[in-house]
Amino acid sequence: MEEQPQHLRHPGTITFVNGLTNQVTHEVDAASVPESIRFAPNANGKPEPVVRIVETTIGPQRTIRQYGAHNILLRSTIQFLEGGAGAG
Amino acid sequence: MIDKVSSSTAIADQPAEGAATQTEVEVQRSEPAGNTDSKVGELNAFGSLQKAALYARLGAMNAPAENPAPAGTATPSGPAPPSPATTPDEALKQIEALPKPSYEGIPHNLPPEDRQAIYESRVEEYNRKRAAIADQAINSSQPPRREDFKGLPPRLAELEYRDALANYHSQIAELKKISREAKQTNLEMTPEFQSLTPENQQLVRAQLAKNEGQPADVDTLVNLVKTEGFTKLAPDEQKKLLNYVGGTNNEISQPARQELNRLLNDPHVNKADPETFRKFMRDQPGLTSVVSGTTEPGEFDARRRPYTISGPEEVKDFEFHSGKADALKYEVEIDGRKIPVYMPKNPDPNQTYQTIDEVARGLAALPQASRDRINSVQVNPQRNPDDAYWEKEYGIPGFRSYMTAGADGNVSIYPGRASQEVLDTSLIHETGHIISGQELDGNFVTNIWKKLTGGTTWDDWEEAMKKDGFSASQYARSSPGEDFSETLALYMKVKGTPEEAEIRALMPERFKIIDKLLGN
Repeated sequence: MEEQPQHLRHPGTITFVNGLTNQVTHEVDAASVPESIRFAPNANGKPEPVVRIVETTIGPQRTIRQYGAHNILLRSTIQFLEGGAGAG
Repeated sequence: MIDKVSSSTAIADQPAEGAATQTEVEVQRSEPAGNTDSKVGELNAFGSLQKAALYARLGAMNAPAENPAPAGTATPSGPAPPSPATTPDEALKQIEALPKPSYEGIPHNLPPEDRQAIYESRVEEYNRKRAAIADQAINSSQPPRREDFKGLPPRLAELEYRDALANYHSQIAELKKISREAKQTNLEMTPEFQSLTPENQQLVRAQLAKNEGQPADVDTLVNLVKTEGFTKLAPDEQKKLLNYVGGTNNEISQPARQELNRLLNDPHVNKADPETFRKFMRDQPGLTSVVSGTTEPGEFDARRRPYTISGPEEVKDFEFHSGKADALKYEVEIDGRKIPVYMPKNPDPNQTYQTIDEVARGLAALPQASRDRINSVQVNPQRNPDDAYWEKEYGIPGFRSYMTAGADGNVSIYPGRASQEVLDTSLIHETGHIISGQELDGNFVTNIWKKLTGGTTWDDWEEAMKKDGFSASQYARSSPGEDFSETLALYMKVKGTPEEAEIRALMPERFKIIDKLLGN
């Protein structure tokens, strides 16, 4: 199991949400998620636990938003399908 | 010069009570008179109520059998239809040669309203023919080619070719104007058009004029206004729909108009039901999946701030998100602020990357409020290591990260070179998330957001979404957060362009908030 950043413990679970329906799809044990995903820096650059991940896929584009406590957005990622629109 | 004819034309032998102001035309008066039966025939294309009333007044004299002549053949004593014009020049001549409608031959003993009805049916038929000839030529004619002049000395051939080309385009433009004016005149005679508020009538005229360059789009708008369902909408709804489908912007209105055309031609759709059009506005069929999908090369160029790039200096073992590697640190300076950009010193030959200049151009296209939130940009030498997890989690292979924006103001760009337009809109979209800062549920509002928008809350944004009704893209419809980022990208895309007014009319409330946010 990966080590958590010092002085920081994860509350335990991460909720996954479908951004198109806003429905919770499932919850996972945070320990099963890579550290680079279960923690993300806040506005001050300090790592914070990610407790909710919202994924929205439309056609060849997907966004993944990672939230900390109090619905604070910590990180937003845009992905493109290879061979589709966007980065080639 | 081709005459225009409208139903409001007055002529000398028209009864005074039916007279209107002569506004547009010189009317030809030499048309041979037809008999009463043929006058009734003209009404076949006009309307059953007026037709029935006229038959009654004429004592059913020579009333035709229930099988009216097809539209276009009912005009009395008109010449046989000319063969389709294949050049703009021929078309203009054919249109010029069409007999102008007049009151000639309409029995004087008819009541004025019947004389007017017959006259209007002639005007309608005349305009229909003008539009048909014009559209046929617009659709089938070809511009002159250089080889058409190859028998001439080269310099003369070039001059003749250019002259012919300019003449061709000028004639096509004239035909498009004739087509639009003819269709508009006929539309204005309909009870559906006349039932609109003066403001909406004016809006229809403006939208038709705006779309004059595309006769098929003019047809779509005319057909919309003539539907019962449209006339049953409230004036505000009509205005909203006209703004939606009547614009020339390719972000929202053009795809909407194509879908509207499909809907109007679908025999299974109930066009008499206003709900059909309310649903059409709610669903926004044909909406682009993302704003970047409709971005043309160079669209952000006018909004880019001047920038300078300095460096690079080498940074050993820089901590990219994709792992430690040596980096080249550049500084992009825009409006006095320097943003560090880290590029891989040893790029992987199997990967492609955004260049430092593309990144600088992207930063220069950002609204200042977004740029102020960026502390650094990293162009990572390798793929986002999180991709493997996302692929497993979502079960769809082939997606790879292009860009990540963090609350800490650091932007990561991963291998895979996208166009400048995708880079521009992705940066605006992703940094838009940083500005807005969070998901919208729970009414939790960050201080940054409140400060930037002068106290606007997310509730206000959601209220604005509700009032505006339209979305910037399919993506925007997935959540208020995506709506903000996509609307911001669209705002930046159209700001200062002729399309701004059209898009602003579709989402005025949200544009007002963004105006405040960006200090515009």
